[in-house]
Amino acid sequence: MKETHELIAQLDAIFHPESVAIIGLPRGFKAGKLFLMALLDLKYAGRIYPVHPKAKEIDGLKAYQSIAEIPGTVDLAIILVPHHQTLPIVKACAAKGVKGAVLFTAGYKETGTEEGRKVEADLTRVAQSSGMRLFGPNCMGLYVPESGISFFPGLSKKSGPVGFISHSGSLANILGRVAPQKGIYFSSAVSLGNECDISSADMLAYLGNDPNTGVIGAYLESIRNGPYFLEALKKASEKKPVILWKVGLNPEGQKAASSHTGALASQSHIWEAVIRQTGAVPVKGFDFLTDALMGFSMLGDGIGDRIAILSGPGGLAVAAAEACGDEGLKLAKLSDKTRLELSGFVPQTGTSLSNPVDVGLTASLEMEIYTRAARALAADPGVDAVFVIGVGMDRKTNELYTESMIQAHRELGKPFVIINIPGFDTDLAQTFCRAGIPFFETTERAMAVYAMVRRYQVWRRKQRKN
Amino acid sequence: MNILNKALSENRFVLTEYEAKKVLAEYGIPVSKEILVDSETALMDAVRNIGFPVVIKGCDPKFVHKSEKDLIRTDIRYEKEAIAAFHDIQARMTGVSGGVLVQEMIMGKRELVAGLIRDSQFGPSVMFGIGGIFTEIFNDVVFRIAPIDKSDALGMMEEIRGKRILEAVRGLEPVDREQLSNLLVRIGQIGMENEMIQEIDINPIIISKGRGIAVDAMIVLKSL
Repeated sequence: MKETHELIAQLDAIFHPESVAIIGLPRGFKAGKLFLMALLDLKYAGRIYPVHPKAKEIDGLKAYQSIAEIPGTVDLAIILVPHHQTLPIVKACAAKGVKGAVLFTAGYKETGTEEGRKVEADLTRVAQSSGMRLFGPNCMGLYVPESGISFFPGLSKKSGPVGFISHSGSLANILGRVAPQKGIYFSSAVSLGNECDISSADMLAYLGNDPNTGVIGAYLESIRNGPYFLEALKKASEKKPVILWKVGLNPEGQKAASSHTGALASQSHIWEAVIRQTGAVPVKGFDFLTDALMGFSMLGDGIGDRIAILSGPGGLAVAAAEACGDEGLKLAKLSDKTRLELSGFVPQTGTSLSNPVDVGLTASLEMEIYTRAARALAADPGVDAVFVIGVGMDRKTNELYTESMIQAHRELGKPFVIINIPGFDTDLAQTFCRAGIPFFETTERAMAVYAMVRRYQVWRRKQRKN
Repeated sequence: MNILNKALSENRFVLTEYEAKKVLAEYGIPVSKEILVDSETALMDAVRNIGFPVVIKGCDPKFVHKSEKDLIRTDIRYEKEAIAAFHDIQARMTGVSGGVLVQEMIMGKRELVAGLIRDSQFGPSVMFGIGGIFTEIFNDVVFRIAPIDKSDALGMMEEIRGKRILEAVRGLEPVDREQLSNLLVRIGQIGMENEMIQEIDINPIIISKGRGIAVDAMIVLKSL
């Protein structure tokens, strides 16, 4: 436990640095420049020290020839020099008292060479003996909007509940860029690369304890220390949802085993065991990952399983009801009062007043029908969540639909889930997400994510009781 | 453990069925009663001790899959039959060191499998599922990373697709889940306490009067 406290304190200091040195910052417009642009873009308020062997100044910032020359302390160092120059620089950073260093360059263990492996082992030793923590090598480092630090320009300045761990720098970056469109915002995101020091398990311990993080997401390729990872994952999951997209689950690990057990123990079987024993939430693929992050960010605690479906298109209403059952959710039984109320404004023909409620085609012209029905359903005490599948005839009606649904959600306080009908305006879909209402591409994805959030919540309640 | 060290000292990495079951029994896992014999006199003593019907098997670490080598005779009910089986199996084992195993015949219609694999990332992991000839056909098995507790073990029983096999189906009594979960917990314990064990395979575990009994087992040691 003492070690965990120390780790958390170390990471906290690194995630909120008062000064950042960028070692090997190029003068011209090269890839390394992005790290400076990222800090400027997020309006980082601390001191930035470029380190360059020759330059006196880079982009208006005074440059230093070495880390030792920098006056005052350096909390975070971003190291961009080629891999064969890294070791002395990391040592100099440790001597300077740097708290954490991000090693961007590739060319280490992942190359499979003896030299790469050796340099990486040397780096680990420096970190362990000095107390300076290392990220990477072969990683993008940190994005902490609250601190104004970022690994790429163009990421949101707004903070949110998601803490993200990635073994791929580019994936972290792509997610960071797409996220705001889905209403997903980060407390922090970190790209870990080869994990010569800080590992995904370390990050699970940190984010699990971080009061600003409500949901943890991770893209993982391989696990370094299984038992430590298992323990960190279990502890984090008991506190908050941990959504894991693990790749590399093919039966490659199944060597010629002599026993049945050996032959049957595929990587996916073992991973399934990890999931079951920790309560983590598995997802597959980028779309499912973002959907899950959106669902877990927006759906509140204690969501129920009685679903009301409100749809214009009849076919999608039936499909939604089927998906609801497939995911182990229930169709809410509407009260007589609700049905009476619906009958007051829903046209009589081509519609259905029992759940799923089919409001028919007229609703696309009179958006009022959608919103009144949604309000009636949300007000029914037998309904835990309202799933709406709607679209207007044009831009104007879609705007009205969006605004009035957001308003109804705010007033009634029950979870709303909106499902896309092809042709709906993309920016309005984003408006829903920004207002904290999850918007899904299909009814199947919507039901799957809602059920996943609910299953996790039920599991956690049970854990806490025991 | 002595059995494990002895095998390693002889440069053997697969224990015989007889040895493997001794290891299991030391951890309180119920195994079929059995006696290793090397002569007709010993055979007769063993048969009298165990009582008919018996199973007679060739026991040598070289024979990993005994049924494929035709080294198993089941449901032997008479002394004459036992003697014939003994000589027949011995003849098939020429050139190997192992003896012949006389075993009580465990009666039961349901066959399960349990085991252990030492995963390179997560360490010892316990397996449970549908056993016997259906193990590979249905691939209906689940794993847990060791150590496991009773609730993990009970969870494994709920997780297999064919979980109804554990219920009171077709006039059979329901499986004693307490006993079975205990068995699984112990397998995890063996893996945690014996670093040199790479794999354990108990197949089949036959359900007899509701209780699971290890009828065949193998243990593979790490070959470093």
